[in-house]
Amino acid sequence: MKKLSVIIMGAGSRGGAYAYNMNSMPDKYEIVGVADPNPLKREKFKVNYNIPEENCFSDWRDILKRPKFADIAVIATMDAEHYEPAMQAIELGYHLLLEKPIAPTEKECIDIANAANRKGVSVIVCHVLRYTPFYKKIKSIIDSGMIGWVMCVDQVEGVGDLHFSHSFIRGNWHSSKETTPMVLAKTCHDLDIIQWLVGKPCKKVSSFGDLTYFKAENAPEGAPVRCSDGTCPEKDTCPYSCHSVYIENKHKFWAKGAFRSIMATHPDYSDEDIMEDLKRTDYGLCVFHANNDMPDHQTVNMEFEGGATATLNLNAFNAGGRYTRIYGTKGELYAFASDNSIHVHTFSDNKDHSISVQETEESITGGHGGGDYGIVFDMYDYLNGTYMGCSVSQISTSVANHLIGFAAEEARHNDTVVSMNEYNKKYGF
Amino acid sequence: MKQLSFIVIGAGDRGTTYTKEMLKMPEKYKMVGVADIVSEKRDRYKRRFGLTDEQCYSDWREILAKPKMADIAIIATSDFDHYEPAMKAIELGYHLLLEKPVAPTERECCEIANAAKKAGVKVIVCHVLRYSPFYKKIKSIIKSGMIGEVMSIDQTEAIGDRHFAHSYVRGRWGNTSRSAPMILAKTCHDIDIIQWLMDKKCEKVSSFGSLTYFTEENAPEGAPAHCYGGDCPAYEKCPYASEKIYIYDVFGDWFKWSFRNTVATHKDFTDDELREVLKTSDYGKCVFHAGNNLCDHQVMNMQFCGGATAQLTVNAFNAGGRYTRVYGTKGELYARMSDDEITVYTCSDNKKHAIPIQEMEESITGGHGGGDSGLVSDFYDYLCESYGGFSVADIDVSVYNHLIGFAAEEARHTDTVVSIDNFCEKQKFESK
Repeated sequence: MKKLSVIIMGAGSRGGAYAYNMNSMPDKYEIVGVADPNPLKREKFKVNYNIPEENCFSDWRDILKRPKFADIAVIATMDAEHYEPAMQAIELGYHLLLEKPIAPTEKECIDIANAANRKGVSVIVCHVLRYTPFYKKIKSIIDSGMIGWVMCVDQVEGVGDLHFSHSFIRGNWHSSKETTPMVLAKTCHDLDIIQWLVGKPCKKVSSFGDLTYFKAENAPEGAPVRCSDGTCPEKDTCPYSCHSVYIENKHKFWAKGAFRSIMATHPDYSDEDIMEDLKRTDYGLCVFHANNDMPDHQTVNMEFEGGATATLNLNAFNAGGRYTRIYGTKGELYAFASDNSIHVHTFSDNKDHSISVQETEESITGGHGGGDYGIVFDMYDYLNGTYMGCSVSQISTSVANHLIGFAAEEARHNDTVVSMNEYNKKYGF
Repeated sequence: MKQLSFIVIGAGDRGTTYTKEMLKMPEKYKMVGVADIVSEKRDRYKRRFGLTDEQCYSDWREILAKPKMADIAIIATSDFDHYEPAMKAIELGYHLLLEKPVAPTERECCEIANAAKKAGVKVIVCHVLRYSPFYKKIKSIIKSGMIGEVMSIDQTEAIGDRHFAHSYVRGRWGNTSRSAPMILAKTCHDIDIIQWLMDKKCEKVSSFGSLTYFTEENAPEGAPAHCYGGDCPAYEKCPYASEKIYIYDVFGDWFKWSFRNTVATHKDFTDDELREVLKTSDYGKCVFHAGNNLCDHQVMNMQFCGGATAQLTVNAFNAGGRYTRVYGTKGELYARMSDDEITVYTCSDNKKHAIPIQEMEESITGGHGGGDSGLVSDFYDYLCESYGGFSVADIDVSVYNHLIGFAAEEARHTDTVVSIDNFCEKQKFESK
């Protein structure tokens, strides 16, 4: 079995997830290099994956100054820093496992696709949901013809109140100008899934929504700009209280762990250290007084070639959870990702079917319902030319589906229905 | 207690339903006349409700040629026959209980609203869902502030495959030559509900959708144009086979009962007689050869004053059911109309609550989840000016919500986002 060597740029949560899963398949992958500005993260990688010291870099630019020394480059840097390392790595001949969203502009996304196609390398975007047993099952139900042709898909990405406050108000994705618009930052997954399940190109898109609630005018009476001051009259009841989320972890949410892994500069990082970091960072801001501009609710309507339609709702105002309802000419499918439940109703016999998803250890304990493991597993077969599945998508498909998101933003800002043909032509895609 | 008298114009399914509900409250309501062009339907009214020959009219024009003979006129004729009797009845001074959709065109809807305003009569449109314990409960949860301010609503009207075939392919609402567009014929209820729950003005709307599946090009190989008696090779697996639905009632639906009510020319109409009718009836047609043109799937996107959004999905490709999800600044609500309870998540305590719907006895057996009886009950209080609830909406509100649906059709046909203000202005409609 041919082993594929991997370098990893960006040793954060996503880079770590792929490294972990690749490392669990030692006959298929070998991690031979890492680049990350954070010394703690680099050290962790070096130790966990036995990376030689000379292959550990503090900057992706340095690792890519070397001649190509691996088969694959994993690009898991921040969103605004995907484009340059991706273009350089492609130029060097690396296959890429590229985190989503691809890049913050249409042009950069298309550039990457063109470069990859010209160079003849594979660029697989981390649309990990395609690789979960759950969504693979849904896709195979559709492909089997059990529900006929897809006529409509309703998708809900319930971001979740706390998740929204952590990532899209206080955190790394609080500004659409520094990252990508919400519809891509969060739901490029969903746009991609919808298109994959419908199986046809998107023809037109409309979108409404905005940042409406998490703004200064809705701040409770007397709420200070910095929640970390501890003087807010709502301190004990507000679910977004930074004390409640990052120290007490009142609602058993993963944000505290994520915060620690971003902030910790030494292994004995304590609650007192957390308090200090809350006081000096955006995570300590009041959610109504933060520097955020991401829409807290947005709807996207789509129509596809052949007439199928789809709706997508993404918003902060829920407990979290992804729901998919698919309406087909022979049956209907309803799926709730959080409990892996899939229900199908077929019209010919008027029967309900509960479809079980083949759970694996990775899908139960692994990240993204097994998607992180799944993509790494499938990628190996794909690069070896032995891939028989239908999850893997090449960069052109991913870019096409990103463009739906960009088009949705244009539709939202201009109050128009955007034709995808015209939109794609505008950007030379 | 004041007894209100009523006449019924259109003694079909809906007319009969309201009649039955009203007559369950004899201290509140008394029927004094009926008009229907089908003699068997008039006979049914005589048999069932004890009306005399003199109280039965064979046409709405006849009953409305008489001086005003009751407080209320129920108008439950077919959609294209709402406008004229409504205008005449308003002129005579009747209060109206008017079936939905109000009328198949924007102009007629606005004229009815304007006429009612001028005449000072009350016109309540049968948006029965507003009166069901289910939606009353949802509305009261929102009003209580439990989920804060509404930021987004997802509404799904899953028509149901066989219901769609019965009403919107073969039936009276199968073609826009005899029916309003789908978004109004079926989901004016849902647009009204969304706006009611949102309690804000709708600012703009977009819509996609079409008739895609139930067309000739998708007919199974060898399927004859007429299903009944046609010996179709696809019969065995086809859920729409005419004989399965209208004779054998294989799936235990209400369509055979409705079909019989529509076509029976006398009491005790037999299956053999039904078979005879099916030989030439629209209900005997193949669903792919039915000459239908209503959308079989449609989505609608809405934005409201203040920034909240809503989506409506309506299509044939499902088992049926109405689903409502409301996302608010303090929590989230999920409800399915056939369930006994509503699920609410509150973010302050990160908890899920199962809220039971206070069932009235009628809602278990009553139509539209108890909305039919709820409407009739609230209507009485409203006319007697003792109404303390929040369901009743006068014609202004209903027509405004209808205009949202018409605007959605314009958006769908022109691939644009339509401003509701501009659309209303075009119709010269001023909402309160």
